Amino acid sequence: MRILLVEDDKNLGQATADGLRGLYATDWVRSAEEAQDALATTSYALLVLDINLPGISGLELLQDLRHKKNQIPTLFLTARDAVRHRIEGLNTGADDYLVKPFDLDELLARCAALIRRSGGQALPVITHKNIAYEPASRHLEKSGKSVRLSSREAAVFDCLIRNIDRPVSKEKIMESVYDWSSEDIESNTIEVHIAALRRKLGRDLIKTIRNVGYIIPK
Amino acid sequence: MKRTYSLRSRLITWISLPILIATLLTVLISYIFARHEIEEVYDAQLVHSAKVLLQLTHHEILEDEKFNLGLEDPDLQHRYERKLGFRIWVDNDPISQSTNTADFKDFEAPPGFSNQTIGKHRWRFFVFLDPADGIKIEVSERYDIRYELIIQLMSALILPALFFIPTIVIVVWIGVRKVLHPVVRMSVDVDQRSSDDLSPIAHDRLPQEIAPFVQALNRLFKRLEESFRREREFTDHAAHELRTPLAAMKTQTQVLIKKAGAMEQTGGISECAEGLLNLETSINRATHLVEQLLLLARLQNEDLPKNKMDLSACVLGAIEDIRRRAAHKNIHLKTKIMPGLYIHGHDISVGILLNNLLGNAVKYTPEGGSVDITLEADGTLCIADTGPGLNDQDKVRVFKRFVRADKSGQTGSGLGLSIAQWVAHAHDVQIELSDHAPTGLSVKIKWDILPASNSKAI
Repeated sequence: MRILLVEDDKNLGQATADGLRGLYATDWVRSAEEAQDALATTSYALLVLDINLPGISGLELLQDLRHKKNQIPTLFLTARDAVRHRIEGLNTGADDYLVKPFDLDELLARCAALIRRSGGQALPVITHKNIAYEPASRHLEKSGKSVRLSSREAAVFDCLIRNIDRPVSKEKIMESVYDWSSEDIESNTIEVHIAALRRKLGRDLIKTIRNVGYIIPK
Repeated sequence: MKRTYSLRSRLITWISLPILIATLLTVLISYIFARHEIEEVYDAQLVHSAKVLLQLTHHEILEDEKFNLGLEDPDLQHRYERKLGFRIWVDNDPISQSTNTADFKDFEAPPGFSNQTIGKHRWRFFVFLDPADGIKIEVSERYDIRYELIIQLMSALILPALFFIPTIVIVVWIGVRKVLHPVVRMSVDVDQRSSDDLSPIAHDRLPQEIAPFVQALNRLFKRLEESFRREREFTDHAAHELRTPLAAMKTQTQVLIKKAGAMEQTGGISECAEGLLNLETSINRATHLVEQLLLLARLQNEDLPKNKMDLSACVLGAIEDIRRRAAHKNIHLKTKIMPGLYIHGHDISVGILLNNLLGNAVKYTPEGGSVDITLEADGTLCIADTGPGLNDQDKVRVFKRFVRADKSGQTGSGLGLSIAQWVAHAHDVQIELSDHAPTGLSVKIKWDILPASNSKAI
């Protein structure tokens, strides 16, 4: 689950990226041009877009994306709360908006809702066998008891449970777990996280498909 | 514009008055000239008559015939003749006189022209003396003849004037109306537009005299609109420039609070958590102040399009917004809202006004108090709390910007009531503050409710 944040203000961008990284792998860029490059090379689950950017504006970027039939869910951030600005943003193709300054929890909740919707999953809780998982908060319960996962473990689990009954390659898991800020990427780290998940949730939950990746079967 | 005057009536006066004066002068001068000429002609006739009579008398005396001038033949009479008379003396003996001179008795006029009133009539005399033969001829004529002629001449002048003068005034009135039409149309146009309509005045075919005025007005409108636009842009800019750093602070603080929370759980440092929460509160206060400032600036710069809106629903919505806060302070909300009351207003700003007033009521009411909210059928909205209330001086002061009456340390921007006041002004309603027994403040607003028939129609 990887998010692209486009925000030109250094402090706000840094803080928002930090806030988002608690739940999602987050790439932060500071201009629409950089965002276009990032979107071309990586697949993101959500775009968090500031409207007022130097150079190409957020609205123009969004217009361009929609023109290219890119359906990426988009939440725009704006400092202008006049109704006409919000309408303009939504009409251009954004799915939701927040007016600065926003509440971090609200931003996370809206991001979760947008990602959930785009996956065709309207329910806020995913249940599988004896496991209940709430993607918005990364809260996980096994047989009614809360299980603590590290953020990396949660990201790996999130990626697998969303693709339930479909094999997911190791590369795809890497992409959705690590953003550009991650420093601890080593080829065997995914295996480490999978091992931790098996220990906490049960041995049979995640199966390994040799030379392909991992799967949570139905 | 202390004293106004009507261009139309001034124009009508200044065009009609000279015409009237000219007409009167014409009549007066004609009268003087006519009278003078008539006097001369009639006097000449008198002299002529005297001469004829003298010739006749000479003739009669020489012939020594019985003196009969045969002037009294009834067939030869003219109606004016009764007003003409003569008397003839020879050697001081009266020898002949016309019948209508009987009233003169022994009055004798002096030689030459003279005037004399005899009986009811005024007469003009001419006496001619022929000393050689001792003949004295007196011809007389009643003034009525002359008066009649003058009156007839004058009537011929005055009667048409009596008809022409009203006609001229009416034509002038219509003409002036036509000429002033563009001016009237323009003033109606300016008068009817709403206070924020700054579109230029249409000016196809304007008279030269008012064209510069209209152009100046349009230039002013343009400048005003420009400055309004710039102010709006400024507000937008200010919003962006203020909100972005606030957002950065807020988000950063919240990220830190989360991290501190996580550390606490794992037994890490926690002393900074409280400081971070205080920081967040301060940021929220600053944010609230900025929001209120921007709101006030925006309300004052943007036009508020007014429509038919459901006041009852708006009040209920505002009550819902404060319900949670009230419950948090254990404040009892007593509401009695008359449903289906409509006003002509701007829903967003009315909502802001209600939120501010209700928010204040909840904020200043102590724990366990109550807030009464009633909306009656006549449009009277009353919000009464059991807070500390306000003294009379503060009741006036609180509407000013950045004035906060309470010293209880409640957070607030000091703008809420001035925003409410501003919205109330924009809707032509008054916010009345009064004491609420036994303690507290009562806020009253009397809205103009649209008639029920009107609300059914839409």
